[in-house]
Amino acid sequence: MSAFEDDDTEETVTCLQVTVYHPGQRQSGTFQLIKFHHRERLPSSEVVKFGRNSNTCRYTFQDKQVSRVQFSLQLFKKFDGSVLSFEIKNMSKKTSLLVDNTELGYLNKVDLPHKCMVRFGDYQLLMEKEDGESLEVFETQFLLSPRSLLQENHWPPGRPVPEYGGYLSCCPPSTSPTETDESES
Amino acid sequence: MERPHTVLQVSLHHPTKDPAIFATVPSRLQHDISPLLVGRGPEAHLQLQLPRLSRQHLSLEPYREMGSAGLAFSLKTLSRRGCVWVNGLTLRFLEQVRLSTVNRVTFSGVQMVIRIEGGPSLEDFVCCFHVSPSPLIYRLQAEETDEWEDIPPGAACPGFRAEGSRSPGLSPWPFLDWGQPSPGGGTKI
Repeated sequence: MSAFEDDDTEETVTCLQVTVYHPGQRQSGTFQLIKFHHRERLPSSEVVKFGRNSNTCRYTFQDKQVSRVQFSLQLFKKFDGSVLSFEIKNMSKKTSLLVDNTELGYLNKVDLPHKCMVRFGDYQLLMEKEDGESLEVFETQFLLSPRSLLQENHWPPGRPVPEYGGYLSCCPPSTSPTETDESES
Repeated sequence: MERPHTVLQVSLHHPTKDPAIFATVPSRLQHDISPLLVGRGPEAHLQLQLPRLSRQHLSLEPYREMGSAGLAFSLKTLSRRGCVWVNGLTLRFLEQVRLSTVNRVTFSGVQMVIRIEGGPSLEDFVCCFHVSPSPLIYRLQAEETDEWEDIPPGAACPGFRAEGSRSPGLSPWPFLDWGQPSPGGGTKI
């Protein structure tokens, strides 16, 4: 029997594709430490941190306006379900995190929709999940968008998110639909 | 002025009463807002010396509920082989639940009762551990819980619930079914 025949059956792997955009990305080099177009495989139990501190964060932004740990992502399995889901937690005391139109304050967390826009400050991250079978590992892949994702995906403009200064509780929530990308052709 | 911490009062018991199991458990542990790991491995914040325990068996994760000021906690199973019983729910690998104020947890024969005392500090939290010589959860059956390799998905967790059921209502300890946690998935917490 050949090694090919004897190998374990390959499992598909959950993949989170993250398309990022920042209006100053060409000048600032904020994404210079992120490897684009590369699928990185991580253990499913890892809490993946995003932020400025390269010692603690898996993915770093080279920008002093970003918190040392801005937010974290982790996998979990829904009770009695078979697919893995992500949840996202805001780790910044200074900046709120918008997941579509849901505003997360410090340490708030929410299940990540299959496709959603995550925003903080001027950062835009379009997150799209591809389901897989493996419970052991998952993958991430980063893409860089040359244009604003809000325009490209016809996302509602939402509210301005200051780098420093509260959680925007003064602003009324947007009443625009959250998902508008299914009927644009 | 330092803000009072949220305190987890954690009582521990193992039926063998072997003092080595809890030999490295501190009486007090202050931890930041990262998940607190429980297991056998050196990376675990709470190390229990049980050979059948996974290196990272479970985690206690602090977070804030939407609209709430203080810390809440969720418990997640990190063991691929073992399961963790929490307030009548059997959690397998990567499943998680939100903890209530008082929580009954069992895994690998360990009985753990966690009582959460809220405090306004969001910087870190404190665990106070107490090893109990007497059982904390009564009517516990003797079977172990961490032999999952040959058990097909959907089968019962040995010793903890009725065959083929994951319903908390069928827990062998119906008196413990109060204060059910909500399953970790599907809802905004």
